[in-house]
Amino acid sequence: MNRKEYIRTLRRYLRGVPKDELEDILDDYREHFEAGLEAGRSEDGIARALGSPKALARQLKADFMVQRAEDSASAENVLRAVLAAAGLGVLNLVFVLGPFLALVGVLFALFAAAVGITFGGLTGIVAIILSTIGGFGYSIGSNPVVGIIFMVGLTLGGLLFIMVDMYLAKAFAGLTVKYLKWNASIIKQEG
Amino acid sequence: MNIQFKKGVLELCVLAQLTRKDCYGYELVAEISKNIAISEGTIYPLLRRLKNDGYVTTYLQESQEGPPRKYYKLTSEGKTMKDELTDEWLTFVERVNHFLEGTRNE
Repeated sequence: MNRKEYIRTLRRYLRGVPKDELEDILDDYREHFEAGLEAGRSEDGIARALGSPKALARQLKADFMVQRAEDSASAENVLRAVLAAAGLGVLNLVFVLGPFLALVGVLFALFAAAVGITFGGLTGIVAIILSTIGGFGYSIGSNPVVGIIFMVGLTLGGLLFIMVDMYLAKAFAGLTVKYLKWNASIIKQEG
Repeated sequence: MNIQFKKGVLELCVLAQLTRKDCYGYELVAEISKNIAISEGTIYPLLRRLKNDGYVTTYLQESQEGPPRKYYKLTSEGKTMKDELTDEWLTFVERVNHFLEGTRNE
């Protein structure tokens, strides 16, 4: 593989990395070829010693995505980082994407439960008010005041549950990024 | 050599070489691969990580021929990291040697 092909392959597998960062990465390898040629090596020899451009590009892309998620842990950035890291090999698919999806599932389930409780409480409040004022003949408990207090408590509890879940999601995003950084430093790259 | 093992050692070698003097990428690769067989391309992701974590900084300097080169310079955090990793490495090697000597005498 000559220098042109090497750089082109790197560029192809770095798709999704912003232009500034991409060019900065490619410059390192252009400089490497330049220096190698000066030292009297062939383009093909330099390319072979550098190793697979595909594997390198995947590693560089994953590193970039993880760094960006660390700088700003938005849901999108974290997800992109996880996907890029998962693409590094079969091992990472198992050790990154699997647990990540499982935990996202748990957070979603907790969130759904919290929303359910909140709406249950709100519906209860409305139902008690309607049955008391409108006389629908539909009553929850014998004392509407106790019922209202219970339902308000349920609503507030549900809201608290939602807040706790959002806090957990944030903490989870932070931990995910930390794990990805650690992962990047130990998992060997394939191919 | 075991590839996972080498990844951590490569970081230590890069930091150690940079304590000697500022280097450009190719120079680092050339120095290190004199002693250890490495996949040369992996040094650049490593340097990028070291830079992001504040262990090295970079600057451009003209070369005699061709375009300017990117030089890597160790920060004080990088120096501390190098000392820590060196201690860890020496302790590790010492223990493994000790263990190996023990098994040989049996």
